[in-house]
Amino acid sequence: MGAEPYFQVTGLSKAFGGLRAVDDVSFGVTRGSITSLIGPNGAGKTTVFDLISGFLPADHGRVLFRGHDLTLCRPHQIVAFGMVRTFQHLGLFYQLSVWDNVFLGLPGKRRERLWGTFLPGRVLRREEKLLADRTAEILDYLGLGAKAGEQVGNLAWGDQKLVCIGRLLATDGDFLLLDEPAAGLSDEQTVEIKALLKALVARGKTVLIIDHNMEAIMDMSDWVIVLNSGRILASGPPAEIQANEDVIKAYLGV
Amino acid sequence: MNYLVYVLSLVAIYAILTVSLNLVVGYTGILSVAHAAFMGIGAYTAALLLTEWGFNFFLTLPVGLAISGLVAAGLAASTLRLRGDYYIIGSFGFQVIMYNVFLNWIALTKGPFGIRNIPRPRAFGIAFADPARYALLTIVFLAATLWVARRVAESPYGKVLRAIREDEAGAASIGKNVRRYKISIFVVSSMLASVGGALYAGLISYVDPFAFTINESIFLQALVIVGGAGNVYGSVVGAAVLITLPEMLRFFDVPTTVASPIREILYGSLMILFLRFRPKGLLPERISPGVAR
Repeated sequence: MGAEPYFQVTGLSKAFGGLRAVDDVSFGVTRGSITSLIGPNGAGKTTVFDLISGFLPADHGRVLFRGHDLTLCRPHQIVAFGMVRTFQHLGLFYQLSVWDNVFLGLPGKRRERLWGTFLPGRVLRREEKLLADRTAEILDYLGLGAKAGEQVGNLAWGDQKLVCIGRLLATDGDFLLLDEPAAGLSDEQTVEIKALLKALVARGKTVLIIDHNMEAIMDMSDWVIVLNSGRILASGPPAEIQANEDVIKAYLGV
Repeated sequence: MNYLVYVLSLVAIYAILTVSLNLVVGYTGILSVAHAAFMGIGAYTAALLLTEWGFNFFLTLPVGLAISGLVAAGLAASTLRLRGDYYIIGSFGFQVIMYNVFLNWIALTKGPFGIRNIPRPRAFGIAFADPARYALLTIVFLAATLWVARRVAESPYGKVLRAIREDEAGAASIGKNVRRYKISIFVVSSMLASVGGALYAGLISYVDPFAFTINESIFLQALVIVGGAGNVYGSVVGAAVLITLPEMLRFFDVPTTVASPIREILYGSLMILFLRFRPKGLLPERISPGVAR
């Protein structure tokens, strides 16, 4: 702990007209931890995600990730630094197969550039084998191997969420921003997702989760940040947050 | 016989235009109504270089490719920031501007009088004045277009295009530079359209601005839809069906004043019927199951 921060947000602000959706938010994330960003609906959690992942320009503030200033970067540049996010609506490629959705996440394909599409097949055989193996490996890890050929739009919600995580892992990013990974899942599936996230952290990933359900993620988080009306209300270890009176008030809507 | 060969050339040329438009509309999901403008750039470049500067037809092609590519890059960089419906309006604006350039830049294009007596291509001692040879030439170019389109569309690059069509933010979230992909495919598509335009000028041996109106762009859109968006072979089938169908009218002794509106009605109704009953077209997009394991 301490030392140079892995990820640090300072004075982040964003207003939509008169509404201050995110108001002077500062926080850090420790490498190898699970940090949760919680708060009632409309607290500004997703806006914080959009700002730090480059999908929305911030009005003020800085975002530093492993020494890189991400403040003015576009989303694909941020991914190249190793920070990847999911969306609440998943944003999968529904008409494409499970295989393709995960395959698309993999970086380093020469044939993904326009000129590369004209390279002769034999030059790429090794590269394509590696890419196919990696895709298969991720699908097997998530238990999606048997569904590789299915169109994502035809899958059940729980499987779609797994594909979303598969696509995320394929990018090889090590800082994962997950927007409500457990939303809409059964209790059983929620337990599975939690186990999966813990396993990923054990494998060296760092995770930042958004959720509005405090109970759901308290037991797995190392650090919790509570957002309310665009401002940070409290932050600390889960036990401390659960006992915090301001937090309890905000959740009861007083 | 010559007439059939002429229709065959026309089908091949329209197939080139449709396949190239499909890359943008069907694969990437960008609805562009400026394709006729790029066809016009190719046609006018070839026509002017052939008649005014005595270029060889085959040497006009790289010039047309360069001009249409540069114009497309400029247009894409400035308008592809616009999303969805707004982009359609942006491309519509460009289409109208180009039509007016063809019509009003009289010193260069001869405006409404058009450019006449465009010679048929010749190279390596082979003259393509003979209709059958010209048809063969158009088919060779169609084959080359299909090769390029397949290469581009059936590669990881093409998968990214489809991903952008499905969910732009999703594609950006896994590190794809969406803007670069959109601009590059738009440039490729427009360059191929200019080849179609040059072959068209060579076939008709006459160009005027009225061949490159918004109606033409919408007609090309109809060919993509009827053939099947997201399937390059569908575009060939779409062009074959919609070009030959109205030509059949000639066998029924219909006066041309009637035939022309009937043709328009036919295109319009087919487009509506397809969108209603078979939105995926004659040859629907194939979903690749990924790598067999």
